[in-house]
Amino acid sequence: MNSSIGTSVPGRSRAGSERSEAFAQYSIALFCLVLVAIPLLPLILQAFSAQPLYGWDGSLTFANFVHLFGLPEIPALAGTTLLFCVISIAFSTIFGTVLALLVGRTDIPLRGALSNILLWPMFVSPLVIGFGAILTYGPSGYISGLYMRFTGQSAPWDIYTVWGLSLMSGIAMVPMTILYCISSAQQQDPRLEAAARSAGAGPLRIVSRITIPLMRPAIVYAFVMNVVAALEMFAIPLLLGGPVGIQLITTFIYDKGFEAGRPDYGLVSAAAIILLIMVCSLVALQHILLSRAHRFISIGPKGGRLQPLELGGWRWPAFGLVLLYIAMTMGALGFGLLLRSFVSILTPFISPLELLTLENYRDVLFNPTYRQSVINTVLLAVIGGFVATAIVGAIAFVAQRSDFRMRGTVDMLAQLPRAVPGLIVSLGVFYAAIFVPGLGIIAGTLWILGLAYIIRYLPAGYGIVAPALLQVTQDFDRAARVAGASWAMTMRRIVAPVVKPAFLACYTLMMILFLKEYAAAIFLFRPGNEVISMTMLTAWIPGYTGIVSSLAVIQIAITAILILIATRLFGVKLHG
Amino acid sequence: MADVVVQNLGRRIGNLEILKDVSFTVAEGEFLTLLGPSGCGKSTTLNALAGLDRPSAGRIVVGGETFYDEARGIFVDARYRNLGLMFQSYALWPHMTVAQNLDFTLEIRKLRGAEARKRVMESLELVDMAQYAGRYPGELSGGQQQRVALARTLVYQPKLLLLDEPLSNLDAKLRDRARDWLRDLQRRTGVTTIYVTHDQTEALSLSDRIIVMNQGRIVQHGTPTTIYETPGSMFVADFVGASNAFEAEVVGFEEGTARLRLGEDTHILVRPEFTPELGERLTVTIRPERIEAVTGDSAAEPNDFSVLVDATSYQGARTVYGFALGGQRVRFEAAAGLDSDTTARIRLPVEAIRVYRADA
Ligand SMILES: Nc1ncnc2c1ncn2[C@@H]1O[C@H](COP(=O)(O)OP(=O)(O)OP(=O)(O)O)[C@@H](O)[C@H]1O
Ligand SMILES: [Mg+2]
Repeated sequence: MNSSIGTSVPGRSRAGSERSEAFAQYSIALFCLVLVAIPLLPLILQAFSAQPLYGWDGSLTFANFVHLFGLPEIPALAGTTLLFCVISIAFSTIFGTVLALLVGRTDIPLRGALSNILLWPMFVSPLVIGFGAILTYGPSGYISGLYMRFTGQSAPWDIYTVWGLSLMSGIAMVPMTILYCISSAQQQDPRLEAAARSAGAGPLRIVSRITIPLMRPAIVYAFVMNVVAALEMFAIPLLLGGPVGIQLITTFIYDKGFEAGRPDYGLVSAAAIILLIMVCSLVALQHILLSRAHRFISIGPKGGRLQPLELGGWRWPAFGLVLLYIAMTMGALGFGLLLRSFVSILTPFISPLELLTLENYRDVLFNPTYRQSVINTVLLAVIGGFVATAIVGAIAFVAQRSDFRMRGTVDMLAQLPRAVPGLIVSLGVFYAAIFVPGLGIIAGTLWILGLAYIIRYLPAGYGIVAPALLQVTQDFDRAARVAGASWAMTMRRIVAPVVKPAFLACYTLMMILFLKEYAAAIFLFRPGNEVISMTMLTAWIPGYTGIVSSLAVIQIAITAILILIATRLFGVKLHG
Repeated sequence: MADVVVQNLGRRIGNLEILKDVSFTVAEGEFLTLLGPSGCGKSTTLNALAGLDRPSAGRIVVGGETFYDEARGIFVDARYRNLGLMFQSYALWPHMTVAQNLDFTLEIRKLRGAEARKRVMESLELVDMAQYAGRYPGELSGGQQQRVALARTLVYQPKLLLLDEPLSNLDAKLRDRARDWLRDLQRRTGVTTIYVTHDQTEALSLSDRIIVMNQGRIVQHGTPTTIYETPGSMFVADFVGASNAFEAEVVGFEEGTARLRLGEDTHILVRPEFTPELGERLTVTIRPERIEAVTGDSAAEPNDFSVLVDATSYQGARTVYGFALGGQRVRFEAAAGLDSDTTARIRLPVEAIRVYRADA
């Protein structure tokens, strides 16, 4: 410390490096804008254009909307969609809340394991749930078959109805409700229940008067998310409603988009815009609800541990009921898929042991299309997920950790695609590939799928990284800046390593989502860039159920291995 | 190392004026403290110096280099100022070891290899932390973290050391030791230092000069002795060291002193630095330790009173007593010896009393 001349920061001129810093931030912001605009702009233009976009003459019109609302099937479509929403949401909300309370707040046996298992369907594509449902509860499903064998009568249920497809969709939506309610139930201030207990309230009264009212924000939030999920739900209505002509808004868009001959792009876009507006307003509503949730945050430091409510004599019956739910839903569906993948035909009249075969897997392995789809899916998940995480990180750094002037806008932009259903992302990117010069070269490649997936799940990744960044003190960045580090260097060397767990969680989530995604791919897939979801869908139509089942099992197995690696080896926490 | 000139610094956010007309200079090697209550704008001033926050008016020059000049539109970012700022939270990067924390700042300056290692170890030795070079910040105690944070700001030999309440996260005992140690370190390195605190003991014991701030303005600056002995305003008197304060009315003048009426028939003599008017109400302050208990039968002087000591509070090295004088509560300190509820003779030395106009 004897020298009196400080060592100053070397390198390029001040103005130069400040300019390159601003340039980097502008580029990231612009990139984010482009990502969000890609699916939306062409779609909106198409909705107001009388011609297909590639032949657009620049005029705008409402004719597409007039045409849409003039279609004779619209009233029935709206009615069915509404009925579907009501049933699936009711199922999901009721089962989700009750299950969350049971495994989250009571002394039910094995509560930790149960709460994990109940969330599993989240990691599985609704497409797979739909296949499982048909193999299990469908007219020739094995449970329907068993019922017939034991009673001599055909099963009294029919899943090819609005009720059937709504309930099956409900199964896919339950985990989300559980997730929101469980964390809310477990984060409650123990003193509130303790106070009620010492005032002489029994468990039932505590639940009905304290626990559930305090969970209200979570339930409302989950409810809104359920409406979004129901409106977006596409695979199950397609599989169960398609064959019998039941149409929801999503399947309507799909059907019109794939109509034989020349699809009416204007009509499809108009319908997509209607769906988009509905979902957007719900997401906005949910934002408002969330900002009002502060009232339910209890005041002061949390005292003590949350005591599980005692079920007493109901402990084992409740356990039995939860097990029954698990067995009837993911148990039965998963078993159906697994069994079907290992036999040549699924029937209750011949012992499956006699029909055991590896042929389905052999087909998948030796058919180049199927094999390619597995490879493509893994490539997309591993590489696309990585790129997505990097993009999410760059955007989050600008939005949360820079002096960038429009960082508030970037923050909003990054969350915007949440209001865009996967099917619409797919359609939008499809139009963009036609409309945006140069983008056409990636049409039909894995790149375009990667692009659509990244756009679709940008908000999901951002939702993990941004809150993690918020929890890291800005003093770390400021200390680095005072010490002379540039913004990019501060982000790379200081902030990124500090939030590494969030980045790992983001990457894992991206891989899981990319593995199971189907809706964003639906308008984009061509021979050559097929992914598992798409080949399952195409193999289903001619009735290759064995192959579909083995593909589904492979998809689930890859996801399971991935989750195991992430949680065990890298300590990633996927929820809670 | 360098001298610092701050001129008419102002900062407003919206229509909130956080800093107003803050001007001061710091000589090379000097230790200056910004002292003031919470929210008075100390950190804002420091951040303006560091370049983390752009002020809205004024000028900052360090070592001849203009870092900020609103009139000429100059603002040099924190990155290029080459100053050392130590945070209240220490802000040690948790994913780097102690040595890596220091080394990172050298890496930015493209200082690598043996020279960098030597510098890192020198700095760590300076703060007695060399043996902890391989530890992570999370594995250090609060006091150790504080010393590493200081080493990190010193390792690249900044022109100016800025410290924002560096001791506030330490417990009382450690704080005392750290204070002595910090003072010693600053003397040894001779680095110009600006120190921010709301703790008057720290300010008084560490500084060459103190600037007292309130509500975004400087209310007084001077050496610790001046600040303590001759507070320029009621606010300073009260904030720096405890004071008795009461209002009194001017009832007469006699040879350089003014006679004030305190209560019914209690009068005290004071020597104001200004000329009060007859009938004016003034604020009278006196520090508790300057009040004397008169023993024996020394000659009566002005401001001697016979009072009933009706409250005692034993505080170890000293005892705080309380009594009523002209209807006002007064506290005073003495080594020990007075009994509660006894009558005692008390003297308020004229030179220990300071008076202020009511609006000061
Ligand atoms: N970004 C901001 N927006 C509005 N007001 C602010 C902002 N930053 C600081 N302030 C206000 O400016 C005033 C001065 O803040 P500053 O942090 O400088 O206080 P301080 O003297 O360091 O206080 P402390 O001792 O508590 O650290 C405070 O009243 C604070 O509320
Ligand atoms: Mg402060």
